[in-house]
Amino acid sequence: MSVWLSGHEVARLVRSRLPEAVEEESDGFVAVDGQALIEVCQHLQRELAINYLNNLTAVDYLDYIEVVYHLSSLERNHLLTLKVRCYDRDNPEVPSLMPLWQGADLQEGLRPPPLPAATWEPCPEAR
Amino acid sequence: VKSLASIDGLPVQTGEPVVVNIGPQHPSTHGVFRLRTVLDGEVIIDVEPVFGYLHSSMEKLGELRTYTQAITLTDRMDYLASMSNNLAVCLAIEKLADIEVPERALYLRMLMVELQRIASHCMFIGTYLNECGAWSTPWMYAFRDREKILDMFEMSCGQRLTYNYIRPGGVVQDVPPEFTISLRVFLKDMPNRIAEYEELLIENEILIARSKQVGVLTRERAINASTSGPVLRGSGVQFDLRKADPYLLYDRYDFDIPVGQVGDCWDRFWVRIEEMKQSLRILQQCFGEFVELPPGPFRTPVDWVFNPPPDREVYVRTESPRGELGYYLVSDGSANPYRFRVRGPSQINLTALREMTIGHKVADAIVILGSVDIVMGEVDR
Repeated sequence: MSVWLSGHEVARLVRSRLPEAVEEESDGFVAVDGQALIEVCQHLQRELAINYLNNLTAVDYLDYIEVVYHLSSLERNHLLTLKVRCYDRDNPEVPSLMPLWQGADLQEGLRPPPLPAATWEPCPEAR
Repeated sequence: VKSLASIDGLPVQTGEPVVVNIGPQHPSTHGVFRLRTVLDGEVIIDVEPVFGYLHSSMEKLGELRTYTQAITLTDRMDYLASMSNNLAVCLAIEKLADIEVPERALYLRMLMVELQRIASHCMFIGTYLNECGAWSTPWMYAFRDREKILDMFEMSCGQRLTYNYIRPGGVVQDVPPEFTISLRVFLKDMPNRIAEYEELLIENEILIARSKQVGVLTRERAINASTSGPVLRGSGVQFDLRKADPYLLYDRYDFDIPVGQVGDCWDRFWVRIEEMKQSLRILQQCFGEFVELPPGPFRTPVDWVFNPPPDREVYVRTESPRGELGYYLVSDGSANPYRFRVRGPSQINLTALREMTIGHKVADAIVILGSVDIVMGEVDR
């Protein structure tokens, strides 16, 4: 049976490497600073053997746009939810995960763009 | 564009690259889908999947409907596996709203989704062999068996394509007595049918020539590209959500996870044939218990309109015939979802298409696309 890692457990692990990166944590998720996203994911790759991007989407809340990542480790059968919040609605930017997982390609670069219109920074291989 | 063309490792005379659009109107693109290919002679040096022609805003429409109404949208995404879509969204809704499901409904759901997997893989065999150049004979054989499953679905819910059968709390109605008779006959006949497929196809020289070492996707790249289902397992990754994260009654039954060794089109084809056998194993075990079940409730009464608790979100994933079918629902306490996100395996499996196709001939691109087995309703949504 798959195990959903608690947001607190993941937050503790992230803080051990990137003390300022965690913005919010709960039982179900951990929200991190968008600028630290790549480093956080690299840390999770190393420490939790996270190797699979299950799902990537965005939710438009009134105060911010939230980008949601469901990540998992196929070896350990663990899952976790990672979030990045963009408070600047006029210029929402989140780094692309393409350098780590090619699976982000079509999920980030959907045509027509995903709802809401969170934009991703261009990366070398993005179309 | 820099030319990279070579055949068997030997450089070939290259000319100016030519852009050729395969689709959006093309019989082998499984719907309205465009492969923008860059060719050097007959060799593909770059490819870009272009989709969105069938985009129908189903995620947004789902947010404007009640949870029960949204099920009808899922029928129309992966219309070759509507039962699997019904199931995935209902599991998500039930988790979001804490709805229990009676045991009889679990059995009915098991029977339906495993029959659906066989029907979907039958469709794959027909279309894939078509794309390999076998024209309509294998298609007719596969449709012969798929029709029997559709007959059973029609007995259960009156529909042959868009079922809307699985509902929050259970299923819409119990199956009639003739369903049991038909399923018993089907389970007796189908192993022979699959043996017939194997006899006709597995050692078919043309199929092997068109599939072996074509569209190779390595294990590492399959994982990195988030592929799932038969594409992931064809590349040698033994991962099936029915085992890894069991739902319904899968943890009660014995079945194996077939995996490929090379990750080529042949392995993806073979994995699906083997999966049909495993689905039959599951069905035989499940049906044996189902016929012994006393009559009972098939659905927990749930209001047509209900409000799940606010500020709650779930991500529920199931193993559909095409891979990981996930639903991410966010509730704000109202009668309709605040966010209705579908993780469609068809779409995400296309991520690896470029890698599988570059270096092959144009005719191979059609076979490779066929081996991914996409449904455009789900890709575009």
